[in-house]
Amino acid sequence: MPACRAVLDTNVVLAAQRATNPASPNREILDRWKLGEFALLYSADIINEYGEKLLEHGFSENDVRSYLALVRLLGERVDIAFFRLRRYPGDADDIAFVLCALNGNATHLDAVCGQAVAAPETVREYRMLLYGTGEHKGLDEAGRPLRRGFSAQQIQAVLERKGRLTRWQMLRCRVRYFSDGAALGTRAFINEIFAARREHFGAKRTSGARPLRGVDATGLFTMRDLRVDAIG
Amino acid sequence: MSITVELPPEMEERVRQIPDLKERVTAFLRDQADCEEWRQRRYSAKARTIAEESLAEAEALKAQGLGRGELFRRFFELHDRITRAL
Repeated sequence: MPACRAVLDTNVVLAAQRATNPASPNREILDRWKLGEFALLYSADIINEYGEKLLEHGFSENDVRSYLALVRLLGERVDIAFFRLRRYPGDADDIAFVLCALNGNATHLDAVCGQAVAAPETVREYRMLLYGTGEHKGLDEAGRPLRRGFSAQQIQAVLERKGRLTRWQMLRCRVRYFSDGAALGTRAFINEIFAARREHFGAKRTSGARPLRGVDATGLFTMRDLRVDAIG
Repeated sequence: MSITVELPPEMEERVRQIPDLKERVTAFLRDQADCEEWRQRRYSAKARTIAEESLAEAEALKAQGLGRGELFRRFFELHDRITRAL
């Protein structure tokens, strides 16, 4: 039985083109579900929610029925034993998902409030998994590992850093902050650009500098808070 | 309104130990009634009917003895067709 128990919002499961593109985080989630990396939790209300959204989009009743039947068979049903929450989510669309997560002891709840999956979290978990299982095994007569992998010191370092990249490791990756981050530099530098180009930003935004996600980049900030595939 | 519930034998003795059973059952039922009212308001009759029918379809698929691999193949086939059309 998978250790992770996830509840997926409708916009993750049915994310239009993004969910059919093999490189999309949404698709990756579904593929990881298929691989048995987590149990997909659903409640009667989530089935209703998925069904309502599919009907709204004009899909045939047969397709909707079959889709829901397959979710029922492949997912794990959660009965809503307690309905009262101390505080309900602002968006009524999210209530069914929060109830299911709480009643079903979920470990992950994706896309509440319409946010996409936090890719840096996935990257961090992946790095920890990779280093956790990738230790080199045995040594030959010359002291070389029989199975190539990471040394105990390297593994310890990654686990202690909770999977975050160092600045130098980051430079060996594809870093979207360099292309899509708009500006990169100290907090003062980014805020200066923000003030100079204030008209390009929304009325609610009060500052320019945003920390880089998934990397220990003390003192380095970006203009755009990239949430998906920031570093890969 | 009064309800009679037949408890499984292994539960009977344990349930007898609950001091404020009546209050707890009432609180639980109040919660469930709230949940049901919310459910009725939130989802259309059509969506609820199809959701009910999907349970029967799931049972029918289960009875066919299809493996997890085949169920996922069908799921992704349908899923891809649906999401492409969104």
